[in-house]
Amino acid sequence: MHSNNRDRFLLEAVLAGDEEAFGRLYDKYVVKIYRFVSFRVGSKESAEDLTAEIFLKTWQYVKQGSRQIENVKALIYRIAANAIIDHYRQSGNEYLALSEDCWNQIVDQTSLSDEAQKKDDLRQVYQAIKFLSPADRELVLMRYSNDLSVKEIAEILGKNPGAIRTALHRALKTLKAIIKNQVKT
Amino acid sequence: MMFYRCKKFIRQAGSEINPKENWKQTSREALLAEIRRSPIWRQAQNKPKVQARAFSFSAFLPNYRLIFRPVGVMAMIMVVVFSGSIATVSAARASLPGDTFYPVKIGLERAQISLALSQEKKAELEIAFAGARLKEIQEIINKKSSDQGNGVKAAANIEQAISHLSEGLNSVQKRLDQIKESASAQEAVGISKLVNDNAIIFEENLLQLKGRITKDQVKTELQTVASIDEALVKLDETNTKSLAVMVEKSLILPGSEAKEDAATKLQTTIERMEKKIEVTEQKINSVNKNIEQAKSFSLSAGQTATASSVAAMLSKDNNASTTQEVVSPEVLRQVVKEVANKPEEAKKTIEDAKKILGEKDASKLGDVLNKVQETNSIVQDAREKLKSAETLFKSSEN
Repeated sequence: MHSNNRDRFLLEAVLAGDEEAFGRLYDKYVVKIYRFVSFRVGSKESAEDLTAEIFLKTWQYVKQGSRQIENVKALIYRIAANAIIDHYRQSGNEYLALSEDCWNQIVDQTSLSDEAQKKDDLRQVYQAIKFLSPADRELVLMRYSNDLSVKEIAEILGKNPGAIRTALHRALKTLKAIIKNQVKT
Repeated sequence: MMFYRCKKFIRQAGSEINPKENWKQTSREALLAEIRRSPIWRQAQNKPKVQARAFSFSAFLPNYRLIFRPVGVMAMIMVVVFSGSIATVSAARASLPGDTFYPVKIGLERAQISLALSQEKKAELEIAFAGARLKEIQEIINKKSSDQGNGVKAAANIEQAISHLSEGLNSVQKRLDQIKESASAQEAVGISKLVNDNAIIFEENLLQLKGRITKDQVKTELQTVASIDEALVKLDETNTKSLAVMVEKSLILPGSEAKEDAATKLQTTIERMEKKIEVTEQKINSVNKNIEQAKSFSLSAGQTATASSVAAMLSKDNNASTTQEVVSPEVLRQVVKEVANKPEEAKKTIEDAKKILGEKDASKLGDVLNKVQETNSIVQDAREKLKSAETLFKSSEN
């Protein structure tokens, strides 16, 4: 069965009294959402708190039953994106779409991998992404780090897929230019 | 660095971040508890079962015109028959053990497994049905506590569900053997991971259910507890087997992702094993203490400790009868002496596993697995010996 149909099936099951169905949905998305949040907030504790809050908010949205849910995955990510923005708003910090702490953590963890060069490459990637505008950074990360389709990104951000495709194309072009420049210097 | 490598690194970086297993479980339980507290869930529980569990096709068919098209109808049938969806399973499981239609439900589940086209689907269904058995046990216990129902009947129904759970776990284990032989490494890693993830959750759930049953301290449920223990052993075997398949096949796969996943799984298993060692150690200490108490009791009462008094202390069963056959706690002391060194031995072995895993050498994952399995055997052996001592005293009581 198509993944989204399966997700909607699970939502129907939970509304029919099978809470374990929501557990299955949680199992399917918890790691992805945790990664999505971690990339953006950095600290493990904040990522854990926010991820738990996102699933709770998803359940609260589902139980209201006010609107037909077309795409469950996009809904969870939209709730996640809003929760992260709220988190930044409350802390008064600027939203960066990529936390340096989180990236450093990734660089430190790569010791299991076989490539010695990988750490340097990862640092270079971070430097390149950092030069992108926050909006472009968000698009690139959603597409490549969170493996979301253009249609899903459009649904999460509440925009037209065509506009997202164009914006993503431009963001990648900019990233390419930054990397080219990095190589030259 | 080339641009295409940059995209690859962004992709890979995402998979480097993983939440802690403990947190995942705690957060899951808190979420499900919140759902259970909501009025909408309670209302659904109060509806007649068939209605409550029936699923709405509107959920995945917003365009009703499709229903009237033969192709649409055929597609729907295919979806229901061949899909491994957990929700499909949920919708089919309206009856409980002891109900007239329960054997029909089991038959339908078996048919669904045999109709599934791939090993992956079959394994997914088998594990989902095993989960359904646990849910049934939970429902029987809930029903029993809310309705003050017949304890003997409830125990028989729980037994029936456990028996099907054990059968299901046997099938999962056989499926893992088949997958190991014939499926691609990629597929085998995916399935074994699914089985392992679920087996861990099932084990925790079953332990909780066991806790609820033993809390009642009803004698008719002693057999049920024994059956749960057997199912727990089966879950442990399933867990170990799935982990073995996952590690073995991840070593064949190119790239580091599957190996890193296997390393994470091994790390989690090591942590769980450490907890098991701790619990076993506590059990040994508690048995030791009980022997001493039994000794002092017999002295103060001016008589030798009876089998029932020792058994009562062991099982903390205050309702145990006080027959006067004399059994020395010496047998038990002998058993405890035999297992006393086991936790230390297990700790040493698991430390070795941690050291090898700490080397972060993917080619040594098999060695880590061997050490983990060795630790498990030591702990299992100690537990079985302690258990047989308890059984010995309990049987002498009768």
